Amino acid sequence: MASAGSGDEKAAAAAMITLISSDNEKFEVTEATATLSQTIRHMIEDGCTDGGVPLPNVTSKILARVIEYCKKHATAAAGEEGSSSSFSDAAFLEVDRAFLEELEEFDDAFLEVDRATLFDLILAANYLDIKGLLNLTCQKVADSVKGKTPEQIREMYNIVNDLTPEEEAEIRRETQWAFE
Amino acid sequence: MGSPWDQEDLLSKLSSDVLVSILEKLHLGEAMRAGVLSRRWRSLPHQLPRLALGVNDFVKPGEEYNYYEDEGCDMLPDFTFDTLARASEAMFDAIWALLRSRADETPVCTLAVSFLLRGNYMSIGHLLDDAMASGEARAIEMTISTNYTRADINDMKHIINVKLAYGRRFRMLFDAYPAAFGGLTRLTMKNMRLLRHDIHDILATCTRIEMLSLEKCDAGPRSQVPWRVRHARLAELSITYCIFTSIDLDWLPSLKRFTYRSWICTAHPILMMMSFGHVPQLNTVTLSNDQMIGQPILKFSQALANTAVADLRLNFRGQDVWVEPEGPKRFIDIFCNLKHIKIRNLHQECGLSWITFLLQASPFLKELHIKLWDHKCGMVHKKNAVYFATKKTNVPWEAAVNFKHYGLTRVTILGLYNTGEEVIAYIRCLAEAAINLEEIRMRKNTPCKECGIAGTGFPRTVQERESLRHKISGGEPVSFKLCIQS
Repeated sequence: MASAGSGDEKAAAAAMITLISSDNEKFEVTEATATLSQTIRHMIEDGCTDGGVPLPNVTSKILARVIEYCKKHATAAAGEEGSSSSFSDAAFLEVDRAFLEELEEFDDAFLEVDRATLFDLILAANYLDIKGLLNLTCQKVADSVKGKTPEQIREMYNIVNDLTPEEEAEIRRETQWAFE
Repeated sequence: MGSPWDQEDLLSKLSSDVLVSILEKLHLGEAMRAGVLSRRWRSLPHQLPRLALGVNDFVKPGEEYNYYEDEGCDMLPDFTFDTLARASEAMFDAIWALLRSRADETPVCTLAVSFLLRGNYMSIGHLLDDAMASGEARAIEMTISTNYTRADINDMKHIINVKLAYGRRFRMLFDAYPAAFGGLTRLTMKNMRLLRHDIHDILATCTRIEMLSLEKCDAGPRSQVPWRVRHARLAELSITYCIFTSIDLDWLPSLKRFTYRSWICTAHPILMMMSFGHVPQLNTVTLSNDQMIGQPILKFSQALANTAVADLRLNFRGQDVWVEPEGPKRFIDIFCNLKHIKIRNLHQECGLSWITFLLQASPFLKELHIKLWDHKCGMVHKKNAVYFATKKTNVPWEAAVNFKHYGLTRVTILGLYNTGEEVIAYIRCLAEAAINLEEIRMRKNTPCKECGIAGTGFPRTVQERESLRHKISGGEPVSFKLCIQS
């Protein structure tokens, strides 16, 4: 009886899904990897993955990176359920730093990309609904603006200030506490 | 430089939802400041689904210790020069401004507020109550603590009186603002002493509560009546350093996580006094005891009867093992869902062989994590010295001959006892028993949380790691992947 579990797992591991990027490149991935994307998960549940899943919003360059992320995290998820940060107090839950370290190292290296790629990854993560990847990439952007003044952020990201001085003063007044 | 995207406003390509999730990762003040970036950004901070504020964020740097030690008496002192009182006032003003600035069309928010039971705490309660009653907030989360630290720890009577006084303040707040507590989804309470029925009343009034955490917050040792916990929606319950003579998790149909951390030593077999009733969704149980010396006292077959946990985490904190090994026959239904076991801070002298009883009891276990207590703890608190110094007891257990486990696929071991011999011997036993073992990972330990010291036994060089690998495999090829990372 006990071996039944591992048998199931082998069957699941064998199920492969084909993903097709906007430039028509095909990627074969396991179902466990693909279903990190809620969008693809729903497609599988609806049975519309025969002949491959076309992803017209994602280029092959970005899709390859996304798959790299999903592969790593699908393996980790198999062992580290419940260690995600969905529950508030990580220290309290005795989450082991070292078990997560390796994944963090991967994530850090994964984020060593230029800004345009980072934003393409955010768009892809959002479109494919991959919560972990969206979190990770958004965190990178958030970290980049931490401790910066609005002027510095505008300059960094080429944001055009289209507010009138009166409007800007009004917003500053409304949220005065945040500027103190 | 000069490439097209250097000039482009890449952020604006993202949808508002994504931009809001970027803002969610900043401190609230920083997220609010982003409102002046441009016209589009102006409305984004108002769409934040959860507004989190804590009194500590409003304390001016350099003034952290300029406060009056409030011992909870009814006579209010002059708070003019009290940095905590001023921080608390500033936080009140910020919440008020936030609620006022959120236009009617923006979605309602969750207000997560961390405050102290001193100064203007009643006004904060009032504000949250109004926000809930008027529909501006869809839910409230509160962290309520006291910051009383300066007492002489030998004067227990005085400390208890202060904790009781804070408990009375909590009760005042609780009675005055039923809408705020009715909308509460998460509550953390620290450092106060309540009356027995207060704890009962909290769960009766907070019908929407999903997370309750009590830290040094209880009704004291004299409350002999068991705490019978009944709640329809409570999903997470954490009890840290609290004194309860017994806890009966009687009817908690939504409970998923239960954490119990105690520092009660063997004189009080308090872990025995825990019982589980209707907890069909309970998935993760974390048990920790800081100062346990002596014989094992906890029998899982009794303590966890009625549960079907998937994830069991035990922290021994370098002390004696308080779990009593039992034969597999007693576990027929208890550990049938158990997939993950994490054992933390296991002292060398307690031995490793007893762990096998857990494997025998849980045929579908997939993962085993063991973090060894592989350093001499330099924790210097006199009060605790005795516990760390005492010689630990080996927990005897003889596994059945030819025991085989078919579920276990991954084993992780952090740290190594001095020569590593015991660990190597244990790994070899495991590898023999676990038919479907895929991977054993060994890593150096993380430094101790208490004293910052890390164990030194783990191999550092490539040669040392190879030598360890050789000792484990005995020079033969192995059927599993063996990773040794430093």
